[in-house]
Amino acid sequence: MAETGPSVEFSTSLTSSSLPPPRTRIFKIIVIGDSGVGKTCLTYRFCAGRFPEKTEATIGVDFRERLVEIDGEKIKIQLWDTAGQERFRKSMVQHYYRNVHAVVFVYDVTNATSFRSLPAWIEECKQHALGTEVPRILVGNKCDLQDSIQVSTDVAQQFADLHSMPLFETSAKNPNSQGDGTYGGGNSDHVEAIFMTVAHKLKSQKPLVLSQPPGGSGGTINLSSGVNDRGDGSRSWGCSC
Amino acid sequence: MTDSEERGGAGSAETWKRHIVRQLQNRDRNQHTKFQDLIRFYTQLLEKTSLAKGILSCSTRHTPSDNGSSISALLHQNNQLRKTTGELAYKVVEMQQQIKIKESFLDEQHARLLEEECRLAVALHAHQELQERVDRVKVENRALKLEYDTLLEQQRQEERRLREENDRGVHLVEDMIHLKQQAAVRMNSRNERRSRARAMNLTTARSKVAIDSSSSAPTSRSTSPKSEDQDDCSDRRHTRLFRSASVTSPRFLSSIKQLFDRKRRGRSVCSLEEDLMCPVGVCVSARVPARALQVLEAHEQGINAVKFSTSSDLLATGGTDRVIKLWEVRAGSLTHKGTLDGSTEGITCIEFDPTGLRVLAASYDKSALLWRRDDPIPKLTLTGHSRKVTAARFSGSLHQVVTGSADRTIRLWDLHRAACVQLLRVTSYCSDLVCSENCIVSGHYDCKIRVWDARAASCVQELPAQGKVTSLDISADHRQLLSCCRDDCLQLVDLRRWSNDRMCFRADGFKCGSDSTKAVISPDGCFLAAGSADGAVYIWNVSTGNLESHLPDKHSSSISAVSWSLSGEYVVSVDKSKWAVLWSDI
Repeated sequence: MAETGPSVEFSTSLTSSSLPPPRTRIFKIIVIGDSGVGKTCLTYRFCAGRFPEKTEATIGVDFRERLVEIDGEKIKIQLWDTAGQERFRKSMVQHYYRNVHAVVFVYDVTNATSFRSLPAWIEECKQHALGTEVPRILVGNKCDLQDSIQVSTDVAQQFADLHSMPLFETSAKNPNSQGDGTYGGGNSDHVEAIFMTVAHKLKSQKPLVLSQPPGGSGGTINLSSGVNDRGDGSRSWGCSC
Repeated sequence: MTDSEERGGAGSAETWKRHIVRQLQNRDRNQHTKFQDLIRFYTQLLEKTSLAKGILSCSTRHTPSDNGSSISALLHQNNQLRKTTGELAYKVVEMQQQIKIKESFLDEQHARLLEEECRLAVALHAHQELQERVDRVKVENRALKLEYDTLLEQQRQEERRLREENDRGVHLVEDMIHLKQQAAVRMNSRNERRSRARAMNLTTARSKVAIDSSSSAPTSRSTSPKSEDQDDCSDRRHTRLFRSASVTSPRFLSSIKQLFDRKRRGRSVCSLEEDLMCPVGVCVSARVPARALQVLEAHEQGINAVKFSTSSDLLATGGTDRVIKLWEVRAGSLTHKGTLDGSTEGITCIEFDPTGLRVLAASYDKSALLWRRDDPIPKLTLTGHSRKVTAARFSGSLHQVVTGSADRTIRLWDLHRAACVQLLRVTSYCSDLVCSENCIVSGHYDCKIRVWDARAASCVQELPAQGKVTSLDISADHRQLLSCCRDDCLQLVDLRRWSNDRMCFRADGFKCGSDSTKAVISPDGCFLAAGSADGAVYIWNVSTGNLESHLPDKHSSSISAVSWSLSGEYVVSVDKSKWAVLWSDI
């Protein structure tokens, strides 16, 4: 419902049953976090390339897709922008986690409560039988609001280390104003970099056979050699494609 | 005088003297009597006087004796009296003073009284004013109260509206969540399907690679060895600009398209090797529907027939309103694609030809009609029956059609000549028929299923049924024949043995709703589906013989027909009150 402009195209393209060629892999990434931390803005930023003017509370889930090319392979990143408010997610949770490829936890750096409820989100993720085998990342949003930061990078980094997740601080509104210099900054789009990192990681991690374990001669299919070194670090996004 | 007479009569001396004495005595007596009263009075007076004197003397006798003391007493008395008088006078003065004080006090009181009266008057005035004000305020209050009451009422109404709106909001949110949930489920199942498709492609690719190690045809990219493909692909991509993700190579796209088209036709692994003209194929597995994806009012009157095309993406429904509607099945919903008209009466039966391009229908108007699926005008009308046509089927070849009718005949038609080439006479009303390679199986109202040899035009066999046969269906492999009878029982007969052993499928609540109720076999032959008079769809498992699923509540009237898509994915049921329901497992 919060979708405007280009995202409408996404949703219409999703309803059509003409399946894209099976060559393109789809990575289902869910974005999870308290209400109001900016999940919708973040996903919108990545898929539509700009900050949405007006958003309302997400009901249930919104799907956003974007086709990216990683190492010559077209990959469709399917972002599930989930509802943060409990009353809008209710019975949806199991659908979120079904066959998910990566989980993005989002908190608001200007809202300590959203940071404090992260363990609950991680717990929910664990409960839905995802454990740690699915790549998870932690994103602190709204870091352009330098004056009202309540969650310091150190604390967040500690938390991220504790849960062995990479941490990113960014702003969906103004992703270039990245405060942390370690991520290069420049003119690149940090939000995009985050999702591309995840995509790289997924690509390097997943063999091409998705649902069937390669039986016996499965080694013929593993083509991911040469990309393993790209996806694991948070720094690899800089040279995406 | 007396003394003068006495001296002159001395001679006569004693005589004259005596006379003079008598005269004197006489005078005396006279005089005396005259004064007697006076004397008596006098004495009386004297007595009285003496009495008075006596009294007086009595009273005054000792006065002179106590004179001195009495005087002092009197003086004393006098003094005392004087004193008393003085005191009294003083008192008088005091009293007068008090009176004065009292008077002044009184005056004061008077003044105050006046003052108080004034104030009282003022107060009264004020009181009156206040009273007036009170009255006014009361009036105002009354008005305000009235206003308040109306406002209260308004507020109550607004609150009620708010509650209602909240309720509506909650409902909307619930609906929304429900929709989103469905979308999520669809998205998940799509993802899964895609990954399965990929996996399947890869398996076929692997097997092909095993057979033929050389690089495969350029049209099927997925069957080429992945590593080469990948290198090739990435080489090509690297020359492109950064993130030109939306640009798709036409070669790539078309290859995928071809791949997909081929996949579509059969929905099965082995279909790749099959003859493209006969995609009857083998469905890998039919999925038992569990949920209604869409419920729609498909026709203006009751729907009698429903059929999926052989490619599973098109659905045809026909009803009493004389038209056939074509629906596109996409992403779990039906979209109206076109209407085929030309029949002058209701449609009783619909059939797609094996290529899926033509639609054959039987009609109440004693004819059978043939359309191209993209042309609403019938291409052929087969007339000759004398009563309504109940069934029309393509026989084994594409140019031959068999029709069954209520006029107790079965006719074979040649579509090239548009003429009846053979006429089979039966003794009973033909309700439905199906065609196998060389035989025609027809169901009749005399509780018989008859098998005909199409070439010899003779009845090969008669199979008994328990009731009026309402519909027949033949499995995709032409091995099993399903019949639905009015005794609320589905029978499955193995056509290869022509024996009398058969499986019966019944269920509590399942009731055959009409003389033309149609039951079907799932494309993989594992399930049977039929609609009941109570509006529920019943699905039986052929291997166990038990009821597999029961889907109630979507139809409000008797279901007339069901159809199972050849992909095994969808089931559509239609009812006598113009509703059609699309069912699936997700």
